[in-house]
Amino acid sequence: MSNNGKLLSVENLSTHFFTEQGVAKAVQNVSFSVKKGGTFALVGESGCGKSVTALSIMRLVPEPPGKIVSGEIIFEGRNLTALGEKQMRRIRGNRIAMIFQEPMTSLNPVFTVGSQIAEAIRLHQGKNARRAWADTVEMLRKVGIADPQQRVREYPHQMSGGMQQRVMIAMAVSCEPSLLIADEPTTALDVTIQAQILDLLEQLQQQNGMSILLITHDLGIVAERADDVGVMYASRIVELSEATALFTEPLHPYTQGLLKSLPRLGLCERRLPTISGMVPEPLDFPAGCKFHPRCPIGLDDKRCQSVEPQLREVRQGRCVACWYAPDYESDAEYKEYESKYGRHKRLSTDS
Amino acid sequence: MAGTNDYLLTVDNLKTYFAIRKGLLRRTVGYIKAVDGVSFKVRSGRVLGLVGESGCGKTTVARTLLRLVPATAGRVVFDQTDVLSANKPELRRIRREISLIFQDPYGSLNPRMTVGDIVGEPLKIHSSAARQAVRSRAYKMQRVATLLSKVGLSPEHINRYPHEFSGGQRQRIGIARALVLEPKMIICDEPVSALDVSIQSQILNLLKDLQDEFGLTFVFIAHDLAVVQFFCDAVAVMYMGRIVEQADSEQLYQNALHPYTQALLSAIPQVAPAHRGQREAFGGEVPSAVTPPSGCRFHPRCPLAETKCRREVPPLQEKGPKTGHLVACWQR
Repeated sequence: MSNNGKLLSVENLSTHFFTEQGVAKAVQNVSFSVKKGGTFALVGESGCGKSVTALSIMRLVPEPPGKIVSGEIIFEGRNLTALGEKQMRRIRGNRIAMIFQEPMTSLNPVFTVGSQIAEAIRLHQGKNARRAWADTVEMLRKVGIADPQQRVREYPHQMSGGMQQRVMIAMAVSCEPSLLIADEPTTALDVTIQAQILDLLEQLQQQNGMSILLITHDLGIVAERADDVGVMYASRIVELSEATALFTEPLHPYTQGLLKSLPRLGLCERRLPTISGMVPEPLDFPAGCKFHPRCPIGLDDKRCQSVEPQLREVRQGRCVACWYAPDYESDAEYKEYESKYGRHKRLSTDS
Repeated sequence: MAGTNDYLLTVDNLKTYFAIRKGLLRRTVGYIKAVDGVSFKVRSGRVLGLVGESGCGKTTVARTLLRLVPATAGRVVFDQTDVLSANKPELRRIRREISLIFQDPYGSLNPRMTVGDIVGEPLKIHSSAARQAVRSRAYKMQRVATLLSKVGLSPEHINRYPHEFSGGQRQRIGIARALVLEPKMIICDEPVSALDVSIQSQILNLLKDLQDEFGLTFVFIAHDLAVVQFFCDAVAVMYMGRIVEQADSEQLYQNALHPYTQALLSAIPQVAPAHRGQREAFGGEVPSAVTPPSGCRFHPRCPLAETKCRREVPPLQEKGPKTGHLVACWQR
C-alpha cells in the first residue's frame, strides 16, 4: 500500500466481448488511479464502457462472452486480474463493494432488507446471526433510515426508491470496504433525494476513510463531488484530470462539447450548442480517433481519421487523448494565440 | 368571454382521484388524490413547463387532459371545447389536435411496425371517410417522408424497424408521429430524460425549431429544471398533486418564492466548480399519497413551517400586483 496514497490503480485495462457479430472492444487501454479516501469519477454517455470498467474491477464481467484481455488492476498491492475466484470472493463485497443504479432490481424481493444485509455481514465477517442482526440495525441507522428496528423487517417493495438506495448503501458499507464503486447511484432518483444520497456517501466516506469510484453520466454531480475525473468516450479515457481544472478549462473537444451542450440554470440561450452525430457502437468504431466524425477539429484532419491519439500528459496532472490538445511547453505561446484567434483557430493551424 | 381566445388550454380546479379498493368486495377504502385542484392556462404558441418529482401528479394531469383517465372534478377547456364533457366526435377532434411525446423512446414505439407505419398510423385512425381518398397510401408515405426529414431523419428510414435506431433517433420518430396530424398542441412527457447528454441538446433544439416553424403550443412535463428553463415560457411547479408555484420562466428562476421550488433549484448539481459544497441538504422524502399531510402538503419538509402551515391549506395566490407570479405558501 505504498504507491503514493493510491488505493486502486488500473493500468492499460482492456475488456472485450467476443460475440457472434465480432469482437466488441468495450474497454480499451484504460488507466487511472483512485486515491485513498478520494473520489474518482468516470463520466461518459451510455455505452462508453464505464460500467464494464467497474465490472472488470469487481471481476464480474460475464465470461464468456466477456474477457479481460490485458491490463492490471492493482488494489491494496494485489493484482486483481491474477487472483482466483476464491480469493476474489474474499475481496468482493468485503474490501470492494458496489452499489447499482436500480435499487429495486438489485435487492431480492422475497427477503426482508434486514436478512439481506445480515447475510453479507455473516459471510464476510464471520459473525453469528444475532450479532449480524444487531449490526444490520446499526447500519440502517447510520444510513439515515428512521425506525431501523421496524424497517429492518420490511421487504424492498415497502420502501421508496431513496430508502432502497440507502439499504443498498448500508449493505455495501456494512463490511467497511476500502473502495466503494457506485454505478449511477442516483440516476433513478429524484433530485432532492439524489442530493441526500450523495451527501450520505460523502459522510460515510469521511467516517470510514473509504475511497469512492463514482460512475455517472451527470457532469453536475461530477463537478460537485469528485476529486479526479476520467472522461470516457467509445471505450477509452479521452481526458483525465483533477476535477476543478477539468471544468474550468476542458481540453478534449468531446469534454468541451459536452459541457457546452448542457442546459444550465441562469443561462438563457436561444439554442443549445450540440455535438453532432451519435455515439458509435462498439462493433462499429470509426478508424483513428473515435471522436473524429463528431469533432469540429478532427472531421477533416488526416491524422485524426487514421491514427488514434494516446492519452498523454499535457499539463501538470492533466492527460488528454487528442492530437490537438495544447502542449504544455508551448503554454505561454498558446495563450497568446488563443487570445488572438480563439481556441480552434490556433488548433487548426497547428498541423 | 373576452380574453379567453388567447388561451388555447384552460384547466380549472382539476381533480383526479384514484380509488383504493380492498377486500373481497373491492370496497373503496380511500382515495389517492393524484391531482388535487390544479389550475393553469396555456397561451396559444407558448410553452408551459410542468415540473415536479416523481409521483407529484404531473403525468396524471396530462393523461386527464386527454381523458385517458377520468377526471373526478374540474373543468378543462381546449380551443373553446369543454374536454371533460365532450362527446365522442368532439373527443376525437381533441385527440387529433393534442399530440403526445413520451419519455421512453423504447417502450413507445411498436417493435413490429416499420417507421412508416408508426408515423403514418395516426393518419389512418383519424381520417374521416370523406378524407380517406385524399389520405391514400401514396399521400401517407409522402407525408411521413417529409416529416422524417423535418425531424432530422432520412426518408430512406421509412421501411426500417425501431430496433435499428438509437435512443435519440427513436425519440425523433416519436416526434414525427406527434406532428403527423398537424396538432395545435403537443404534450411532452419527459421527452429527453431517457437520452444521453449530447443527444438531449439535439432533441431540445429540434423541439424548439418545430415550435417556431409550426407555432405549436407545448405542455412540457419534466423533472429537470435546467431543461425546463431552456424550453419553457412559463413554469408550474407541482408537489403532491397541487401547483405550489407558477410564474414566467424568468421570474421563477430569478425569484423563486416557494421553499419547495427553492429546494428543487438548489438540489440540481451544477457544473460550475464554484458551486462545490455550497448546497444545503434538503431533508425528508415525499410523503405517501394515501395519507397526505394536513394543511400545506410540504410542511413536514419545509424549513419555514409554522402551526398555520400544518392546519390550513395555503391558496395559490398572486404575489405582487400584475406579476402573474402565483405561489401557495403562508410564509410568502
